[in-house]
Amino acid sequence: MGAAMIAGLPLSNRVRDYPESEFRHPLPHEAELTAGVRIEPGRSYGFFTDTTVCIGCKACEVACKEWNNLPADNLGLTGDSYDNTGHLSANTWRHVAFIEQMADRPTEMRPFQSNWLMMSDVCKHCHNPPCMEACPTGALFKTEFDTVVVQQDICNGCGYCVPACPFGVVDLNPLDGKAHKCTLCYDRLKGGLEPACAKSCPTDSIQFGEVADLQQRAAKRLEHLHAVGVPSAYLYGAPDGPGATGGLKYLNAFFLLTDRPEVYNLPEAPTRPSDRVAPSLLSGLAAVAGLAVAAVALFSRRD
Amino acid sequence: MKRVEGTVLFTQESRFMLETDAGERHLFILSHKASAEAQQLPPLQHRQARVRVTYDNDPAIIGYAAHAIDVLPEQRRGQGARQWARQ
Repeated sequence: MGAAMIAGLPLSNRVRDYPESEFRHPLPHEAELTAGVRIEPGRSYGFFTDTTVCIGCKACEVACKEWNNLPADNLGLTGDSYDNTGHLSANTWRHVAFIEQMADRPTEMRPFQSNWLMMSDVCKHCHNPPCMEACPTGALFKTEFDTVVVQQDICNGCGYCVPACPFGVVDLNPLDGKAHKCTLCYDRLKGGLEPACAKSCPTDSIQFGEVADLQQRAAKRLEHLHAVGVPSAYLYGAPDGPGATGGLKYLNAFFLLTDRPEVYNLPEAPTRPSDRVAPSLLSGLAAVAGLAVAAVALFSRRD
Repeated sequence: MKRVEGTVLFTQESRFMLETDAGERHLFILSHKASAEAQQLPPLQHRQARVRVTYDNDPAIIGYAAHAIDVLPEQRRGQGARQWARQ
């Protein structure tokens, strides 16, 4: 009999210690049982989201809202397919995008051949987070798990982090006036638990683990997809690949996509605003110098 | 402004869940106008404190904006439920 597997990895031997299906107490190092990884400070954790197996069930959205006590927002109909959350916001830290791909002439599409792309978007927990660079109070910080979190008691609501994020993740809540975003379930990680969204994903489209392990797993998955005839598949946010441009180096939450990043509402080549400070300053100084030269030339001609 | 009394069940950042004596649960976000900060909420959760929340609706969310939180005197566990059962 073959060993039981979870997300392509053999289940921990500890599974045999817990034959019951209901537990009265939290299990120590539960993530070892659910995600095959022991969570320890000082290591780097993240998500690998394989969009090719996402079924758009939104279990991740619900689990995120349940655990983090986030209210439903963006009420009403968006008119955009099954997408009722619309985008990431201060109250929506997971967003399942439904991208319906129509042929040039929808009436000519073969029956039962509609083409859907689905992707569960989230904070990318960048290796070099631009939001953290922009934060003047130090409210945004890197945790002991290499994730990026906003400390609510330090955030002053200035909102500099909002335009600094190249992915449009961070958002201000007008009710409490503070910045909010995914914490990669910081409180759960401290308790040895897998993040709520990854734990709830029924197809393991969202996989949680150590970033180095996830990158290896993603490379294998990519190789398999190319072998079975999906040449369009690629990794977004893997080291020095698409999505990890402009000094971001790599994203702790990265994706396997099958179409251009823009189709998934992701930037093709994200950059860090801090890289644009020197060119902006130089161009400003050049403009001032140019105007000064023009003024001198104009007034000297009058004399 | 409306008011409701109940027990703080759990908190996350500036959000907290309140359970009334009748067993209804309401989600609140601490308003920036409130004279309380998010870091003052977890002690209320740990004590399962009874509080009176002054709040307002917010049309953008399914939840309420809490403008004031008054901590009420401690009540014996289950007293609220018994009062409700007698009615």
